[in-house]
Amino acid sequence: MPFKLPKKLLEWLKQRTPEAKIDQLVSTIGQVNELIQGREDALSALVRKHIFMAEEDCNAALVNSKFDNKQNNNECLRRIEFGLFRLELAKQQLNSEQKESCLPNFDKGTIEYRALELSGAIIKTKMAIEFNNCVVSESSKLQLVGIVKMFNQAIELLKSNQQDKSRRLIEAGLLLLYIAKREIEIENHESIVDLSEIWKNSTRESQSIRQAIEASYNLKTACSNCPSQATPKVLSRLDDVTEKLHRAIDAYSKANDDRVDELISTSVLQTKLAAEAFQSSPTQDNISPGNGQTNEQLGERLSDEIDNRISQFKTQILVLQRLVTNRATQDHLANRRLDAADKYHQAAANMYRKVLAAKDNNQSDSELNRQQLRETIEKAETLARSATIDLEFARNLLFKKSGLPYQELIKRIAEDSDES
Amino acid sequence: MATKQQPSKNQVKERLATVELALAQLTDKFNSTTYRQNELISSCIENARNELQSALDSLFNGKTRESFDRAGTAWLYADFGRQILEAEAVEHILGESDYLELSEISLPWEDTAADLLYQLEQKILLLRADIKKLATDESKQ
Repeated sequence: MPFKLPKKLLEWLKQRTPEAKIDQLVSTIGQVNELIQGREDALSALVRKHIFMAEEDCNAALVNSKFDNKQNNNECLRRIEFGLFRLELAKQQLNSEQKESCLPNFDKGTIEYRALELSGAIIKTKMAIEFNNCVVSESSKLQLVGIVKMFNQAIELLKSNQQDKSRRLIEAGLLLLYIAKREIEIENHESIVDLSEIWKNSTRESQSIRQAIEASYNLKTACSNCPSQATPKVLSRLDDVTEKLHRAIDAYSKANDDRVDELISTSVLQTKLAAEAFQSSPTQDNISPGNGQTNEQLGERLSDEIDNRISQFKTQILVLQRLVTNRATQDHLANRRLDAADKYHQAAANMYRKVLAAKDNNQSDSELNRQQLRETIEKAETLARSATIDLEFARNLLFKKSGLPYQELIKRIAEDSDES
Repeated sequence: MATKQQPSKNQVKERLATVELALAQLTDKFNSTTYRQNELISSCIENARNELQSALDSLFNGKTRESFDRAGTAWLYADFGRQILEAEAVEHILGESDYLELSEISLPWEDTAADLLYQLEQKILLLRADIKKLATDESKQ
């Protein structure tokens, strides 16, 4: 008597054949199709896409089932399984339509969770700015755009499995967002948004940077509320602190923690000194030339003003260099010219300060001193002209103007100076 | 660093279903928005769509962890796009439709660079004028 398999086992084996599975796929396609009959919305469009893709899988499975070898059989089964998976996905989407919300659960410690906190904070700030009709300077706008870019870059790093870099970039984005928020609040003389929630999951290093930012911006706000008490020296120190904080954030994002510590300690100290200077300075409304202000005080104020000019010029050069890097075709050449313009501007301003100091101290009395003074003024003029030349040359390089060659440019600017 | 746990196929399916649905709804709302077409939302949708496609491809190739992570990344893009869309809807309904642009598209670097160059030029001109004044005063003596 020939061997006979039990009936149930035979049925089970039949189910396992590719043909049976293809039948199962076809019937499931039909079922899902019925579920969206007569519907024309986003969900039904998505489900239709799944049905279409499942049909593609079904066709591929059919083709593979015609060949009787292991490779085609495996491919056939894989396509069937994937087609069925797509349909299960579609069914689940149709079911979840009833639920209030169904979010992917990211654990609090994950980078994804922190990225969501960054995107949430960006939007919170955007809404506050729009709702309060805040005036936002170009530099603050640029900073916000930069933070969005950092968010995108952090996701790219996450995709390429560079977890630590991604986390650091997100933290850096949050710190820069906090700076941007404080800047906008100062610009608009009002508090616009509370971002205190974002620090709950931050790292120890970013907490220390945040505290340094908070201290310096508290002082900046006080200066903005009481401008007559904010001397150029205090403001210049605060500008310097801001620059250091930006460098600290940059160093943090590049995992250079020693540099972060160094920059933060210096900026905290500078903020402290600036705060002391701010508290001890009398309101400037009470001191004006001829109102008890000595020549020494006046000289000091002028010198501070020149420091401020140099610092502002340098900051703008840095902003411009960051902006054009990797954007302009000749960015490296333009950046070199911008560096030169900055050096010439700084040297010219220092010469100018020297002449002012000499005049204040009545050092121009003798003919010899007078001659030296004239020579210093001449040098200052030449240096300032050189700054113009390099700036113009940078402009030509950035905008690919068919501008004059360098030598011609020098000649032209010299001629312009003589005419004026 | 602790290694990530391997997600079950069911977890992957749930995440894919959620993200796909959220993206479909976002796309639908974005396409029906008449008052503004924000380029940043458009790029969020595009990025999320690409990530979801990668997630499905990974799953097809049996890489469940990769698929799970890719779907998570897709969510980050889609959720950001949704938040911008909702924020702008609020500004459209309650505010003055004065939107804060968060993408670089409306801020061509050339314009900002030209503006910065102009400001720097003005600063040098101011210094040159100060120096010239000193020179004139000196020549009078």
